[in-house]
Amino acid sequence: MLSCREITKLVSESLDHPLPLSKRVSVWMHLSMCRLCSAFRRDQVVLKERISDEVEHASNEEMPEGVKLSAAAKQRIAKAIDSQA
Amino acid sequence: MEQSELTEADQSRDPSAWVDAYGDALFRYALSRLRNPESAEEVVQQTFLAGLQHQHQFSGAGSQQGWLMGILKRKIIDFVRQRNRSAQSESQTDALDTRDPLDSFFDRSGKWKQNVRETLLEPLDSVDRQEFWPVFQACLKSLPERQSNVFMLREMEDLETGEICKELEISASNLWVLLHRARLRLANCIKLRWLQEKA
Repeated sequence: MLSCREITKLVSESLDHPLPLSKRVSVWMHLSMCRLCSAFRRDQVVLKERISDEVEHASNEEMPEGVKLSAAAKQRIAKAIDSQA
Repeated sequence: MEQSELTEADQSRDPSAWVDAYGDALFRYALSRLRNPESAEEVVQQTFLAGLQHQHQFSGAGSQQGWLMGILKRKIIDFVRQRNRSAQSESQTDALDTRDPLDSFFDRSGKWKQNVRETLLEPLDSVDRQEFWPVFQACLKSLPERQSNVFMLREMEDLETGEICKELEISASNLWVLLHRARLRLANCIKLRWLQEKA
């Protein structure tokens, strides 16, 4: 029997690529009995979804509107562009 | 109204107007990925300079901002690769300290530690949607450099794990370890902060 420590590692991997069948079965059996590891998996699915929602729907607005390049940085960058233009 | 939009579009073909037209949008994007204003400014500057150099390649199809954004994404990966390298050599000094960060979650027999169970059972989904993003950003920032870099490339930039290994020159098993640590800690951190703020 794999421990919670080992199972969560497999759960994490399964979020990125399909596991081989034998591992998938171990994970499935463990999760069906362990509410702690199930909670871990549930949260990781939510985390993934929330991040991708945010990234897709608000491509440039993940940072508040108020976040801007400072005037000094703008000047410096404009200067760098001018010197190369 | 239409006229001013036209002028704006015309101006945006002129590199000297780029900073005013796109600087803030690119900066916000870079900051959310790199978590540090100086680094974000640096990649924005690199993006504009690369854009200037390759201006002739911009076909005019699609927006200028979208084109610059494509360059920015590339520059962010390059920046992370460099930063990861220096983080790697730093961490070699504490490689002797072999304490696995997972030890704070699991006991010796591999079971969840008692003191993390309560937070674990609190659903992440109960965190308010509006408050999720700032809390997530703060937690991502609190992770060790290599963990946050890998997590950002995977979940925010949506790179495949194979690409991340190639870009950052790390092994697949190393990547899995970093990603897993980041995930465990992020979920825990987000919930803890959220519960604290709510209290």
